[in-house]
Amino acid sequence: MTTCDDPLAPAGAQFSLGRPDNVAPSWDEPSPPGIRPWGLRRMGPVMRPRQQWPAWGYDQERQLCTGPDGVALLDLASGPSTAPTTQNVDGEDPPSSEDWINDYTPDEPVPT
Amino acid sequence: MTVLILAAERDLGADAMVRALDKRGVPVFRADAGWFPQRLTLDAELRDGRWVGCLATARREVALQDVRSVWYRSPSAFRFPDAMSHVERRHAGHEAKLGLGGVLSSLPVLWVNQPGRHADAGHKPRQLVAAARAGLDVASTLVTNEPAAVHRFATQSGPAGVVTKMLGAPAIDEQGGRRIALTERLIPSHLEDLRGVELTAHQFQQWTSKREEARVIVIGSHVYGVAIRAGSDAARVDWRAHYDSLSYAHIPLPDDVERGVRAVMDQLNLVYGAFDFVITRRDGGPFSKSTREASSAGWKRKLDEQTGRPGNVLLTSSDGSWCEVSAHTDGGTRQVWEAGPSPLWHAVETAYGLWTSWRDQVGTASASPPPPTDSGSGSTPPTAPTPGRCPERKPGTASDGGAGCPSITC
Repeated sequence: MTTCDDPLAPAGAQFSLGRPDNVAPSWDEPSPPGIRPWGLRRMGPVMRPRQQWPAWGYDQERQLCTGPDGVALLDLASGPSTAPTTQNVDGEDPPSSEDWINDYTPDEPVPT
Repeated sequence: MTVLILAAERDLGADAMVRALDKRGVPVFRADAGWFPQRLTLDAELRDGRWVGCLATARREVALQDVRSVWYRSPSAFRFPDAMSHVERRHAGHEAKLGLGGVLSSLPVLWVNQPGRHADAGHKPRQLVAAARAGLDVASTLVTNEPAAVHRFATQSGPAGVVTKMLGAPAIDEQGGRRIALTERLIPSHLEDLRGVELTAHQFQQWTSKREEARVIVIGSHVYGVAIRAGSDAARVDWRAHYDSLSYAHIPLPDDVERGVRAVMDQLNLVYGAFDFVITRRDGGPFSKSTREASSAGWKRKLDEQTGRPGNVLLTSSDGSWCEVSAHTDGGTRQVWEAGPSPLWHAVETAYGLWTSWRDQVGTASASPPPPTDSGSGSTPPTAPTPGRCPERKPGTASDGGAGCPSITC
């Protein structure tokens, strides 16, 4: 099997992008059985609360995430241990590894 | 030559990598696709069969021909002005993906992982085929939208039973929050009501009784195995169900498993990958592959902190340093392998020396350890030290983005 010569993913997926921060949550309601895919009928709430991140910003000079006082989040002992979503999956705490979206665009590019 | 990191802004793994490279004096240019087109510009010309030009932000720039390697760590989606209509955003997004993505992914450099290969490998049925062809033991698997096939597969599987798991993401965004469906064993009530199976593809696998599970991480030629030991019934079905019950240990891999893993990587043309296995026998074999998914150095760091066992110990820190210490002594000498900017084992030894010295002073082996020292390694006997810390980066040094654009105007 040579995936280079025989790619399975469509062109749009060849440069997959993750779901951005700050996208409004979906308020869609589950469809009734018979319309909802069987696999989704097993869906339940996330067992642990979403991890709270401190206020943060991106330091263009240092090229990393910082808190309000300029300290790198990486250095905060009490800081978050994992990624907010699986666009940057760490495989650590749930639900970080549970919402990877392989091909977010071009299907749904978002406004600023 | 510059390492290009494509990552979201809020990504501590990417932060750690920037630091590690910075400390080693390797120029880094980090960017998020979500900055394109408003905060990231591309200026690329095709010359002599390759793209030359510049990728630039307001603060820094990198010449495409100066890029030595790319860490493709799930950058976020392009963002376009609110004023654009949905149709216009879709068009712009598609063009951006083919343009920016196409230029970058055609750079003749090392990619971790190359986006196209990454996308191909995201198809779980293809992963399983690759694993089986590589000689790994793969559980019997059904992919179907036919309810009768589910009944047939359950009957074939007999008393072992069947689990169902998603082919892709086990989570959705719905009702204002995230909802998940982990791996689940089928019970009679599931089989009595399969409405909705016909609506899309579903995956079922024969249940494999397991002693424990393992994640195998492959980084280039390096292969690491970590046992994941479940401490609850829920975690024994899907260890993501109960993280607090888990314990971890660094484990050696059987030769055939390591060969198989390497063969899968070759088949899928991946540089970096993580494999999840179940271990069925007390002697550590056979490994049965269940899935492959992304992971990162951050994962290893957490595993190491929780291992704390006297056998082979693998330590990593956020600056990319690592060391491995053998369990067995030879004439009282440990074998230590380490690399990276921080001398981790030295820090551990120092901490251990401080602890034993203090213990001797107070005359009890069970006393609490002393407060942390400046070594940053805490004060407990050899377990994982506090991740090494790097000095503040000085302006104009390593990660300033390379030598600019020598061949065209930026």
